[in-house]
Amino acid sequence: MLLVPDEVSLLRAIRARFRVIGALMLRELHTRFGRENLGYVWLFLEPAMLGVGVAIWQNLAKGDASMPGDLNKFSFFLIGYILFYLFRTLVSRSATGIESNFQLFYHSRVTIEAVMFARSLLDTAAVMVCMGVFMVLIGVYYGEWPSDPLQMALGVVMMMLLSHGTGLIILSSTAFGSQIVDRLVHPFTYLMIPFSGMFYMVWWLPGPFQEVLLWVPLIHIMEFTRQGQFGLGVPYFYDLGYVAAWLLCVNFLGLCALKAAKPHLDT
Amino acid sequence: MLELSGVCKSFTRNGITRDILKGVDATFLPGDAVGILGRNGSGKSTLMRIMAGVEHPTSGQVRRRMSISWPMGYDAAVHNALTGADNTRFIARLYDRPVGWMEGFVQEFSEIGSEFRQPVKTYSAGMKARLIFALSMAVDFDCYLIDEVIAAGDARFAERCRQSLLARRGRSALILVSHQIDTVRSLCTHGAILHEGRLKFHEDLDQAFAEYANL
Repeated sequence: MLLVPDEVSLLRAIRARFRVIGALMLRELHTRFGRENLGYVWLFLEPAMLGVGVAIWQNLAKGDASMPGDLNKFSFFLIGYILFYLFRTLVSRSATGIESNFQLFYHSRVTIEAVMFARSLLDTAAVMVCMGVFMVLIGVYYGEWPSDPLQMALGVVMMMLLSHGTGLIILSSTAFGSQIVDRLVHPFTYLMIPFSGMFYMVWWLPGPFQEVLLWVPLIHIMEFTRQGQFGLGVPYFYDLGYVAAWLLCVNFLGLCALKAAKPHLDT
Repeated sequence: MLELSGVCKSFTRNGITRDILKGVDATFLPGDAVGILGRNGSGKSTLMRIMAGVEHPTSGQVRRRMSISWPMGYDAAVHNALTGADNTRFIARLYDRPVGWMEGFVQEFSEIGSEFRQPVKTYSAGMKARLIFALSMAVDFDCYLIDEVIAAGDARFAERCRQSLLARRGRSALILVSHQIDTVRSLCTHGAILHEGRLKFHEDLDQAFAEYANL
């Protein structure tokens, strides 16, 4: 379907798309931040609560239960949790992407793709800020600064692309019945926790487990991001080519599926 | 230009598939004022939602080469949790209109007053209709999609809507959907009849009315 007016240059069409996405992001910020609810405060509170939990556990173990490779527990779990949080948020919210924004589709310029992309971008920006704040706090408190912040940011972006593409596929599948999909997505995100690398690193595990787990792209992204924090002291397992192939595939499939599903989605 | 070619739409509910539109072809140009007549359940609203891009056709194509309004007459174009002002700013950004100017215009045109800074869910039905209409006037669309509902409600406001739409009849396209002949006569220059999933155009309004009466 063509949404561009007659005889506009490609550049103007692209600018129009960006304007729509920008407007959508600002609106999403308003509806979620709101004037009454806590909004993004929760995004900081959730990892902070986990951090407190880890700190308590560390205290109970009286400090002698150190991590393999002497990694900082706090930053280790925080990175795992925040990255997985991004995946869980984008994936679990994708099934209701149309339902919770139905007003938007009364504007012919607003496409489902743009709405989903704006939401993913906003969540990613929030996660990025959250991660940045915690890394600075850890740096100040423990004196341990990220060895490569850019690599960490890239990890967040990769996680966003993976979750976004997966979300598009899930959204498209709601054409078969939105209730079933919504019910399946939540167990799916919980079942992914042990396969996400949130609580461990690949080199802690025996060889056969490593081989199986390295089929999961989440783990590669997790390891890559942790390298950005901890540097080269311990072994990391990731293959950027493999991740890139996944990102391309899920996003391409997601967009195709959405195109096919559009006539059957209830807006 | 708004062009529909071979637009079909079917819905499947509880295993039963109903064909609502069975191949609609139409071209609307700026300056056209077309009244689409159809009995209840003939698929008028579905057609309107497809033209607006809310729904997507099962098969066939919709090409939009002018800016097209949301279907007016539904409340859905604004977000209830946001204030009138927030909604106005969002729509200004979306359609690339000056934000400050648009806030002023909408507040004045809609006659909402200080409630403009309150969430839309606290508005009365009439206020909400005025806000939505004022927004559509501020955006200045090339094509307005109007559901008959606009004729209902506060008589003074309905008359203002009618005057505003008539005023832009020459440069914008108006597509009105109705089951009432009077509404169509007051705004449109051409008629079309939606019957059994197909759209048939009539140059002459009276001819369209005569055929509609015989359905």
